[in-house]
This record gives sequence, C-alpha cells and structure tokens, in this order.
Amino acid sequence: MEIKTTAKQLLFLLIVTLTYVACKKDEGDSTIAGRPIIEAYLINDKAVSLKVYEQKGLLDTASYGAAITGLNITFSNGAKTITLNETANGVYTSTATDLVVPGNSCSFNFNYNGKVISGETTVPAKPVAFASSSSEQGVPNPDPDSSSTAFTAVNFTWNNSNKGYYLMVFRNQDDTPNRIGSGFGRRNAYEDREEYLGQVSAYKTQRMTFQFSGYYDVYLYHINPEYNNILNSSSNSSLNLTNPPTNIKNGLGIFTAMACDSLLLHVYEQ
Amino acid sequence: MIKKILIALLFVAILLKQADAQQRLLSKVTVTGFYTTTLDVVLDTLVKNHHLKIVFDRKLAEKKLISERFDETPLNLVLKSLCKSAELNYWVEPDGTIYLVRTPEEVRSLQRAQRAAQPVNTQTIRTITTVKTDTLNKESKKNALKLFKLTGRVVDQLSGESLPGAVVNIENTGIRATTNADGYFTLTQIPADTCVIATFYVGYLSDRLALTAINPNETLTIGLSVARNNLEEVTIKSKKNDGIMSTDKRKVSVLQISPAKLAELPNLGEKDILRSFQLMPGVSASNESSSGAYVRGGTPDQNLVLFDGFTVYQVDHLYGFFSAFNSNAVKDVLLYKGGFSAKYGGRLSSVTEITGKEGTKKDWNVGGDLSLLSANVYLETPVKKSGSFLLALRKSYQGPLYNKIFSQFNKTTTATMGFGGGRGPGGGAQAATTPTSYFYDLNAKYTLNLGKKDLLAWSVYQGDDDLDNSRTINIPSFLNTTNSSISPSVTDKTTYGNLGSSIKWSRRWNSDLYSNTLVSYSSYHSDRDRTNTIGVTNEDGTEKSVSTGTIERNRLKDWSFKSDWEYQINNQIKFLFGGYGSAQNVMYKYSQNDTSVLIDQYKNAKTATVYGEGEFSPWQKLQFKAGVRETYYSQTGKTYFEPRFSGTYLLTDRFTIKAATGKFYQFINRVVREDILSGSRDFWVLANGNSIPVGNANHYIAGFSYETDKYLFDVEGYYKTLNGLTEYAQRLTGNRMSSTLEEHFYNGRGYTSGVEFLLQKKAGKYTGWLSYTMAIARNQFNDYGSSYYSANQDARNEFKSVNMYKLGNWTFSATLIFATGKPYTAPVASYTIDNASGASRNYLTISGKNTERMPAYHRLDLAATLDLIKIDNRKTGSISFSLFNVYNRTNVWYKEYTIYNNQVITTNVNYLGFTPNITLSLKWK
Repeated sequence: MEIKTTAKQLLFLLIVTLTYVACKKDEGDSTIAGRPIIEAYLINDKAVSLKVYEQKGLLDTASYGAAITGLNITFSNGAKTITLNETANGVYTSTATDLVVPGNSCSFNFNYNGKVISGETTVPAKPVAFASSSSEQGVPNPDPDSSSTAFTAVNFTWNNSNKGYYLMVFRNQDDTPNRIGSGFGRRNAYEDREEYLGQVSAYKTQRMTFQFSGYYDVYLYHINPEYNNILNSSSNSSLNLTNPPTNIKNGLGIFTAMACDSLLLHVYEQ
Repeated sequence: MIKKILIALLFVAILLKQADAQQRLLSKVTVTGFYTTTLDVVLDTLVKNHHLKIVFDRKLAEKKLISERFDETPLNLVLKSLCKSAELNYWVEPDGTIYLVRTPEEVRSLQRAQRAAQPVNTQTIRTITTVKTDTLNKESKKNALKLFKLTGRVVDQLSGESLPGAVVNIENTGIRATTNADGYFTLTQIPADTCVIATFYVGYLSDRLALTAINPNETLTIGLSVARNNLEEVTIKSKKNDGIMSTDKRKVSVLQISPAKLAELPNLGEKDILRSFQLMPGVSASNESSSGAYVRGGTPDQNLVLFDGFTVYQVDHLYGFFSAFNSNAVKDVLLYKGGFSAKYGGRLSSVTEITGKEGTKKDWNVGGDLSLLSANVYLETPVKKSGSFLLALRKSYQGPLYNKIFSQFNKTTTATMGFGGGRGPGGGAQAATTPTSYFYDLNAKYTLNLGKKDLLAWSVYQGDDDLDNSRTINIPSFLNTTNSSISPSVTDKTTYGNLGSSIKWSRRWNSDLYSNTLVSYSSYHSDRDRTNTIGVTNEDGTEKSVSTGTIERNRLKDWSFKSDWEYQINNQIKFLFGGYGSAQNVMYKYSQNDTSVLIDQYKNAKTATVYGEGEFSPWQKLQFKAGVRETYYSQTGKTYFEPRFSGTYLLTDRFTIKAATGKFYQFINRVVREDILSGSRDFWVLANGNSIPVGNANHYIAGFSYETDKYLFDVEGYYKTLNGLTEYAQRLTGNRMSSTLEEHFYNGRGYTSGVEFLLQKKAGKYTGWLSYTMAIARNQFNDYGSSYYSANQDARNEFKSVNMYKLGNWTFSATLIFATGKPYTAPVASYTIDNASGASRNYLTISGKNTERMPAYHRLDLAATLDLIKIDNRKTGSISFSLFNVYNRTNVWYKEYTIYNNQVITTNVNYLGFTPNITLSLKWK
C-alpha cells in the first residue's frame, strides 16, 4: 500500500511539473513585423536612393507597404557622410551622383521606433572589357506557322579574373516596345529582362531572350553575392518557412552596391 | 461498386459459415494400459505419456470412475470408450487440443458462446496440464532435489512456427527466460519435479506444463495456440495476455505486437503493423502521412527497421498511408522505444524488429485478404520433412480508397511554386490519360532445418510504389498548327521501393551456446520525374522530343554481415556478443532538362562493429543488462563507443521499477525536403563528419509498472539528447542556361523528454488500453536562431484509447486519438522588393520557427470483425468492417501560403476525412 501511495504522489508531482511545461507556448520574435523594409541599389555614377517602407498585413492588397516618412537618414561612402533628402514619400536620395565609388564601403543608419537601423555594403569594381560580338540581334518569328530561320547568338564577354559575380539586364528603350511575331499564345507584357549570371565571364543570347524588338540597353552589373542571396530565396510552405535573408540590421530588405557598364543592342525581327 | 463488393463479401461470408465440417482426430497415438481409477488420473497419464493437450473439467473428472483396458488402441477409440463410460463427449480442435465436455451443447456453447442461453461457466474448465503433485510419476523422483537444465522451443501449435520473444518461466521461482529469434530457450537450475513451466506469448493462450514427464536431455517443444474469441480458457494462477499488445515488465521500453490479432483493430484499407504501433504510448499517432514511427520525439529515420535481419530503408506505401509490410508475412514485431541493447545500433531513437513468418511445417495452406485498397494472397507449405516455404504477395488496385488518398496528394500540386520546372500543366489545354498508379510487395521465405541444431533461412522482401500523375495534354485540333506526332505531355512520376534479402544460419551449438549468422543485401531507390515534354520539329524536318523539368534519383545499397551469439552460463548470467559489418553506397542525382546534372553524389561508407553485453540476475528480483558497442565508420575514420545499460527490480510481485540509459550513434540520415510536393520527398545521405555530422543521442529512461493478472499500469519517463541533427534545403540559382543548385545542410541539436502512462486491460472479453503521453521535442539550429524551438514532430499531449470487445464470433473495436496540434511556422507579415531591373518579389516574414500550433488532431475509428468459424471450430477467415475518422474531423496536415493579388492566401492541406473500408480475409484450411 505504501508503495502505491508513494507512486501516486510521484505521479501527481510529475503531472504538475509537466502540465506547466505542456502549457508553455513558444513566443518567438514578435517585434519582427514592425521592422522597416529598405530597398537600395547603389550604382556608380548615380545618385544614392533608399526606399523605406513598412511591411504589410497578410490580407493587405496593396503592392507595397506604407512609406515611412520623416526619417533622418545618414549615408556614408567611407570618405564623406551626408544626410539624405526625402524626395518622395519614403524615398530618400542624395543630390550628388559621385558618392558610389568602386572599392569603397558604403553605409547608412537611421533611428526608427527607438532602434538604430543600419546597413553596410562594398562597391564592386566597374566591369572591365565589356564587349559584344555584334551590336545587332536578329530574332526569328516564334509563331508556329512561321518559317523558322536560323538564330545567330550575340556573345557578350568581359574580364572576370577575380571571380566576381555578375548580373545582366536588358532594357528596351521604347516606352511601348513592339512584340516580335503576332504574339500568339504570349500575352505577357514587356518587362526588363534580368539574368543572374554568377561567376562567369561571358553570356550568349538565346532564341527566347528577346520577345520585343527595338534598341536595348544591355547593362552588365558587377554585384556582391548578397544580391542573389537576398533576392532569390523564398519558401512558401509552412513546412519550412524561414525569414528572408537580409543585410539590414534591425530591418529587412537589401542595401547593396553594384558597378555597371552598358552596351547598345539593336533587336529586330528576322 | 462498393455496394457490389459488400454484397459479394457478405454472400461469401454466409456461405462459409454454413460450410460446416468435421475435424478428425489425426493423432497416431495408440494407448496401452489398464486403468481402474478416476478419469482425471487417466487423462493425466495420457497427457504425460503421449504429450497430448486435453482440456476438461477436473472437478467433474474426479468423480468419474474408469475401468478400462487398452491394448495398442488408437487414441480416438480410447477417448470414445472413456467418454462412453464417463458419459462425456470429446471435441478436437484443429490444433490437436482435445476437449472433454458433458454435452454436445457444451461444445457448441464453447464455440459460440453468444448462442448459448447462459454464458459458459468459466470456472469449470481448466487446463489439465497442471498435474497434481500426488500423481507424480515415480521415475521423476530420481531427479528430485537435483537441479537440472532444460532447453526447449516455443512454437505455434497449428503451424509449427517458432515464436520468438515468448516468456517462459518456472512458476513460484524467479527462473525465467525469453525465447530467441528461433523460439529456443534454456532454463537452468530448475528444482526438479514439482515444477510447472508457464509460457506466455502475446495474442496466444498461455500454457502451463508440468515438467514431470519431461526428459531434460531432449529439447522440449511447447505448442501455443492463438487466443480465440469464443474459447474461455481459465488458468488459475498464470497471468495472461490475449490482447494485441504486450509489454514485458522485465524489459524496459519494449513493445510487442501480435500480427495474429491485428485484423481486429480498425484499419484504413489494410491491417497494418507499423500503423498499429502508432496506437501505443510513446509513438506519435497524428502522422497519417507516414507509416514510420515517431518514437519519443524522434523522427522515422532515427528508427532502425529490421526485417529478418536486414535494414529496410523505406517503410511507406502510397505516400505513407500504409506501411510496406504485409502482415500476412509477419510473425512477430518488437519495438524498442529507447535504451535498447548493444546488439542494435546505428540509429538514434528506436528499433523495430520484424520477424517474417516461416510458413507452416505441418500442412500446406493458401489464404488471402481483399479490401477496398488491395488484394493479398499467401501460400505456405512444408517442403519435404524439414523445410517450409512462405510466399505472400500484395498489390493495390485503383479502387475508391486508393484514389481518395492519391488525389489527396495530387490535387494541390499545381498550387505550389516549386523551383525548376514545376510549373504545372498548361492553362487552356485539356489534360487526359491518367496512367495507373499502384504499389505491390512480395515476401518469400524458405526455412530449412538441418538436423536438430542448424537452421537455414532465406528471406526476400521486395516492395515498390509507382505513383504516376502524368498527363498528356490534348491540344484542340483547331489550335494544333504543327503536325507533330509527339503530343505534349507532363510527366509527374514518383517511384520508390526496397529490395532486401537475407540468408541466416542459426546454430544451437549446445544448450548454452547459440549463434545467428546472417548475410544480407538491402537496397532502396527513389525516383522523381517531373518533366514537361514537347515535340520539336527541326529545320531538316526531323522530329524530336524535348523535356524540361527535373529528375531526381536516389539509390542506396547496403551489404551487411552480422553474427550474433548468445552464451548462457546459468540463470543468473547470459552473454550476448557479436559483430556487424556493412558496406553502403548512396547515390543522389538531380538533373534538369534531361541534360544538365546539377547534383551528382556518389558516396561509399564502411561500418564495422563489435558488441558485447551481459544479462545478469544476481537476485531473483534484480535483472540488469550492461553492454558496450564500438563502431568504426570509414567516412570519418573514427571509432564510436556506445555504452548501454538497462535494469529492472521487482519491489513486490506486482510492482517493478526499471531504468535504462545509453549512448547511440547514427551514420546515415534521411533528409526530408522542405517542400514535400515539388520533388522526391526525402532521400538518404551518408554522414561525412562535416556538412552532415554523425548524429549522437543519449537516452535516460526510468519508470515503474504495476501488473495484476488482468491489468497493467505502466509509467515511463524519458529524456533524450540529440546532437548532429541535419536538415536540408536546396536553392536553385542562376538562369535558364547555367543554373546551379546549392545544397544547404543545416546542423543542429535537440532534446526530447516526456512521460508515458499506460493502463491496459490484458485479458477478458474486453481488452484494450488508455495511454497518455506528455512529451516535448525541441531543436536548436543556428540557421533558425540561437534558442530552442519546438521540433516539427512535437506533440505535447497525446491521448489514445484502444478498446476491443469480444462478443461471440464478433470483435468490436474503437480507437480514439487525441493529440496536440503539430507546431508550424506562420507568416506574420509580407513585403515586396523590386530587384535592380524593377521586377517585384514577395517575401513573408515569420515571428519564429514553429511558433504556431495546428488545431488539435483527433479522430475516432470503429471496426467490427466477424470471425468465420466452421462447425469444427476452425477459423477460416474473417470479415471486417472499418470506419476511419467516424465523425469526419478535419485534421490539418500542413498549411501552404500563396501570394495572390498581393494578399497572402493560406490554404490548409488536410488529412483524410471519413473513410469506410471492408476487408475479407480467408484461408483454405
């Protein structure tokens, strides 16, 4: 009997202890939803521009969160420290266009909700010896009933002895570019085409690279690896949701520098 | 369709019930002797001299005087004349057990207790095998007071199959033994004559046998028969367990299951061994999509699954809703929930050891099951005098149940935004041609007794799943401007499976030394093909098909050698020792667009292990095991030392305290892909000591049990630390021309802790148990932060109630499961960023890993099983009706988030709702 009683007491104790543990809930970091989003691409020979805005509620149908206005943002390029002006709601820019210097380290900081939000990045060197095999690109009509003709790729090359990371953007100069072919089955609107290239030193165009004709600015960006790490990761299942990577302290988003060179390419329907 | 099947099944059932037949007494025993005594003495003598099993009412027999003379008289005539003079009738069970009853009605009432107007007076029938000490054979007096040794084997009375893990003890002494893999046991220092040997095995009637007529120099064979609904056997002293689950109070954290009784539990399509473990305390029950065991906060890959000695790497059929083992081919299943013996290793949490059936040694038989999911046939036959063979085949068909589960997985595929080509079928075109999906498995086992000491067994298992969700896109003709003969198609095919085989040689060198040596091969494959194929006409007019998408392949091969030895010095000391060696190679290949291979891994590893363990019982009340295991692993070039300990102490007859501890290493991991729908769900990788560390765990277990004849109350608490856990993520980067697939292995640690309560009613018309587990499983991965979070499998409270009630030939069962919802990660906000060229991307922010909880999981299942019994009391099969998730509870499996129109849409992916099933099981004889 005695044993039974001891067992009962033990049991009771166990239950009490475990009930406490069983009811404890994981709190997590509840402050994260209040962190600001920063979007800044520092490009050589261009003004510094930082967009700062709030996150959205899950059911908010707006594209972007509300702009955060009235901030006092300090920007430093390693040599010079300035305060950015708010040129539009939540957009903070510099007037000078010579602040982003290859090789330099840039940083920003501001106070928001009692916390110092800051970020830092290094400006990569300008691409060297960016060249193309041709300044013209003929694209065959992709429609099913067209008599397809051969496609000759344009080869872009540059010097990448330091194993840098590169990104290429094709931007049509027209406001409303012309679609190649009748557009059968392809209703997508024109968008600048961005190709993340990684550590390579050449890029060859493909038949499907261009769906619109006209004059294109071909930008080659020498980027930091953070660009790709931050932007190209997402997971949408609850089985493994993680917070998106960022290089902003006490905030979210991206603050990265890149150095750019460009070429002109004429794209026409063959 | 279902109606038709139901009607057909009922019709067959009725036919069978009417097909009464008479069981003949096949014994070739002849009796010689002159008796002028009471009937009980005559029967006792018959039992002793001819090793018969006779059940009768002793009180009644004591009053019946017999005066008969037999001269080489066949047994049936002897029984006839005995019955005539005692005014009794006899009845023979197919297993050879003879019943002596007063009236034929009593036989009937025995067989069909529910038909008798009054319930059987259970007190009147006893097993005869308890011989009164005053009727002892004089010869045995020679042995009196001399301690002797006894070796024996426990087998199924009907089929002659050995029963591993049966408990044999000498009543009123502390002498006990557990049978080994071939059913053998050795008891030493038996204090001669007056002893009764009692044998228990889950799902079987327990047996008591007087040792008086036994020659200790010969191997004693103890035959047990399956506990049946309608036989009321009462043994006065012995404890018994005719339920489905048993726990041995002298072992720590071990569960045993009786496949013979599985059909009586509610099931989803198939009686399922691994699924039924999920009803036991300490094994999580809220994972419908995995047959694997989540034991005490561990994941299924931390559970070693052994089938006839070889490792099985994949235990799922049909996305995990069914286990890969055909219960018709399984004899015995043991689950070690922690702190297990040094004999086992290579996994962090638990061991499931499955022993395949050998097949009958007595007479051939054919049987099978038919359910709404699959058809299952088996054949067993003796081969010559000393061998037996079993073949079991199972294949699913695309019936309503199969399709229901299949669509559960495939209707949501297009909603996910997978990487690399998982773009779903095209919009306007119609999908057609649904190919067939199926799973099958095959078990074959050939057992050969070479003389009295050697046994050879060859076992093969193969199981495969072919899950095909491919579609051919039919483009309407007015749109089809090309005259390509290759129509566009979407391939979405997952195939996976196992092939394993082992050859085992067991030898009883003498009554003390036993060895079990095994060579085995096991392979696992998993392929996932998600490609879109289109026909392309080249400039020269030739046609070719071009595929875009991803193809994944994972192959694992494992060649192993194992030798386990048992040396029993006396009842107090037994040594286990042995060695294990294995060579594994694992291939994982991820290719895209049928040309570029993004990941191509090919790894080899060799493992060599030695172990030794002593089982000591210095006093009757104390029993403990201490062992060590040392493993060399070639990938790291290191050796790993694992000490193990477990012990039990009987405080009183009924009250036992127990404890176990040990260190455990794991060298191979199954990594689970984060997005379960856009790739092969999981694959095996070998630890390399860097990105994938060798996992290790420490177990600390303590508990007590209080056991009476009919009830068991058991409490166990555990604490387990886990180190070197690995999670996996793939990130596809780059453009269409040159993409690279980055592999990220996240490493972390964790701990689990909990208390399990079990209250079981082991015997009687009503059996079942209540179990409650409170558990914590928490992990810490640096990639998710520095603090511990609830692991994915964490279920804080889990309550299970399993109830089975026997009413005549019917068994009714109900299982209720309640579990705290699993933790999940939910977004708290979203934001959008434009990239450098202005294209916007959406992101979700979370407050922390696994901070949210799903709604509680609960479910009630019901089943009714009718045993199909012939007039001679043979069970020829059963028909069972099963209702899964009776009140159609919507249990959430996981949540999916999609961003549509800037809003974050949450979609619940649910588990199965109400699902009925009917299963017919039949055997020829």
